Amino acid sequence: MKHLLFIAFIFLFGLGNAQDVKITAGFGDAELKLNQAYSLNSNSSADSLEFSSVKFFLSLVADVNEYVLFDAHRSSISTVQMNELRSVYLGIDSTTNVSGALGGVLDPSLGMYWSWQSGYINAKLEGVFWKDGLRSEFQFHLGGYANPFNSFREIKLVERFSTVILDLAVFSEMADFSIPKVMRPSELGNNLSDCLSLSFRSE
Amino acid sequence: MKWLALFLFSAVAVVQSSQRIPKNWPTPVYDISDDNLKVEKIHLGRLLFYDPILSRDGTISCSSCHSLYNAFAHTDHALSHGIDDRIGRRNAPALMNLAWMSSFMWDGAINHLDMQALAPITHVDEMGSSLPDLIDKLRGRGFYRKKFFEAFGDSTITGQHLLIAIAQFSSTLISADSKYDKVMQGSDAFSDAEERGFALFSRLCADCHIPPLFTSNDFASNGIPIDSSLMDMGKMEVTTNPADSLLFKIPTLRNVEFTYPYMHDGRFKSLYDVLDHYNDLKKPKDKRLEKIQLAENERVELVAFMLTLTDREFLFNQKFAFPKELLQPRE
Repeated sequence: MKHLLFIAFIFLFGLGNAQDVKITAGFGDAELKLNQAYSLNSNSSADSLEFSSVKFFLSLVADVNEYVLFDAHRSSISTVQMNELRSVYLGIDSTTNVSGALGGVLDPSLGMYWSWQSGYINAKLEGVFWKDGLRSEFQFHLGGYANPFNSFREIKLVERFSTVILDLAVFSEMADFSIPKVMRPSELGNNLSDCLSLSFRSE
Repeated sequence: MKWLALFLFSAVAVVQSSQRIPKNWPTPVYDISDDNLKVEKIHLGRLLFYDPILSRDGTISCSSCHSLYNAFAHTDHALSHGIDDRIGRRNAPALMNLAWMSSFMWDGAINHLDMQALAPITHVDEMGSSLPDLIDKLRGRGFYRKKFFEAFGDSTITGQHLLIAIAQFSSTLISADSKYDKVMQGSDAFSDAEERGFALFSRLCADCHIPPLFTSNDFASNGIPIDSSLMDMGKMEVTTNPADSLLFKIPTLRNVEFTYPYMHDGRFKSLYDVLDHYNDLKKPKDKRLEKIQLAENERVELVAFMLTLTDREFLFNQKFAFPKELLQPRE
């Protein structure tokens, strides 16, 4: 009985500020479907496209920081419980990038770490797009922790939110698909990281 | 009495953890204290270093290109030699005193000793494997599940633990017991030629090859022209900054007697070839090289000094040698 009371006490007071934060990806108002073609506006750099892979890291800054690796192939929603969440960033900060071999979602065996040079891949977006009837593959591997190619980006959030959504419709309209292979820290990668970070919304 | 015992015990612990750092050396970048290094992790790293299981087809290990008897360089191979007889673009560097290095590779692409092994394990011209494939193979071996458990208290093999084990072994490869070191400590003396060579070295070479590590850990262009078949741009390949064009890591000169062939592409076979290159340089971009003008006797004296950087205790250290445990029949 004593134990039960204690557990109830923890639930009522100990986790008072804890909240579930959901992380997901969509296309407009719909849930993202991998390998499904989406049409884009006529002024976009592609006419239509489909995603085969959508993976990204979010850094959730709070009393205890959390790193979330979202992978659309594995799960459409990642949920993490946070205390006093203060801000959210796309990618992994520079200090973590120079801290050697880390574990959990930061384990370099999960495909989100470059091997030819040190550093996390903050986001991987891959798929195919059509422009004027021509089919091309795109591979955007965005990362880089050191200037001038630092791709760590703060995500703007509304005051009270429980869900962080990557809207790939916004990204697809903004991103330049005319150079479809961007796989190293670079100016192009910086631009795509800007587009990607601006494609998140919270609600 | 209990307190006294505790005090003595702590004193012993402090002495032990500082023992790895040679006297009068700077603080290492990588934590080699007993707080971080663990015998079982070092041993696991040594097993992995010598085990060709790291390569895709099980033919190449780290030691294939980094052999103890030449200070973990690759004798007579200008460029690294990987699986399927593939040849890489760069010379396999000697491995020693890595705990004092702030970046790795000829172009500085790697920022931490933990992450170094990832590059050769995955490079198509080296071991051609991938971390997930390698982890799968290791997980299938009871031998390694046991070793990972002994090292990390967890028999689930992860990329993190694999890389840390190799890094811990690598960090113990410390060479600080050459004739040069003994002379500096007052327990040996240079010959006349070595003494003159040391004076020449201090005047002409020590801007970049700074004792006691005999490197500044920095990058420089030493004036060798680009090899038109390799088109290696050095550090610029990583940073894309034109100012980094043809800059390569300044290597340590410890055990240089055995680390031939020299330069990032192994183009020079002997120390005399290297000195001739510096001697013949016309208007080098790096002004530090301008003063190198050696007479015939000075070349010999400089080489005589460089040979005092040979550390036989290191080159024959059985703690770094092939672990016979790997010869046990595989389950």
